[in-house]
Amino acid sequence: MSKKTFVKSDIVKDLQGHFQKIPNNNVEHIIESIFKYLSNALSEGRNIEIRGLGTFKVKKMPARNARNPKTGETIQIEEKNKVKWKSSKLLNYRINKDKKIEE
Amino acid sequence: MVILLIKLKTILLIIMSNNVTRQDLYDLTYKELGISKNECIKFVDLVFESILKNFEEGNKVKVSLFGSFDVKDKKARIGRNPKTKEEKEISSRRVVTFKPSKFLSKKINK
Repeated sequence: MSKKTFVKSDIVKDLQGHFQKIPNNNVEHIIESIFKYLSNALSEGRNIEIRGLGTFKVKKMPARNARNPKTGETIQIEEKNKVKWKSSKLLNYRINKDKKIEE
Repeated sequence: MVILLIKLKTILLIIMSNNVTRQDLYDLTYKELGISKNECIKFVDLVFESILKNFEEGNKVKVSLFGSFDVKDKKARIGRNPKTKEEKEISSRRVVTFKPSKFLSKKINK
């Protein structure tokens, strides 16, 4: 199965047919602001929970020592925030329809 | 009675946690587009529906400045219940992974 990459402009195309009254530029603009809103919320430390899609959480990763596998040199990695993503059960079910999965 | 208390607790948690949900996005589109509330709900739901449809087809979804989602096939493996140490086969499955964009990673590390 060849993989296709679906990008934002494809979402705009998908929505066009449903909202003929709204100009294209506005559709694109609002989709951009939706995702801008989501990334702003994450940077404020709010979690995102979209039913049917999944959740996004910001998690603080503590500072740690790591090693360069090539040179064996130890380096310090600073504390940083990471986005944790968990897909919703509904989504897991939808992409695994053809498989039987025991929980 | 107990069920009622648990329900109250979850409602309180939802209010206090200040999570972003679809409702926030409905409000946002309402403010920006100025179309009816029902249309806004339809709009936001269709945005996510078109993303979900692509996951079903096994496609990659890229949203610039936010991140990219990929559908990956996982092989069957043997897992252990950490509590009971019981071994059990985990069947092969498909999972969706998310990688935040550089922009988003930078943003949350400010």
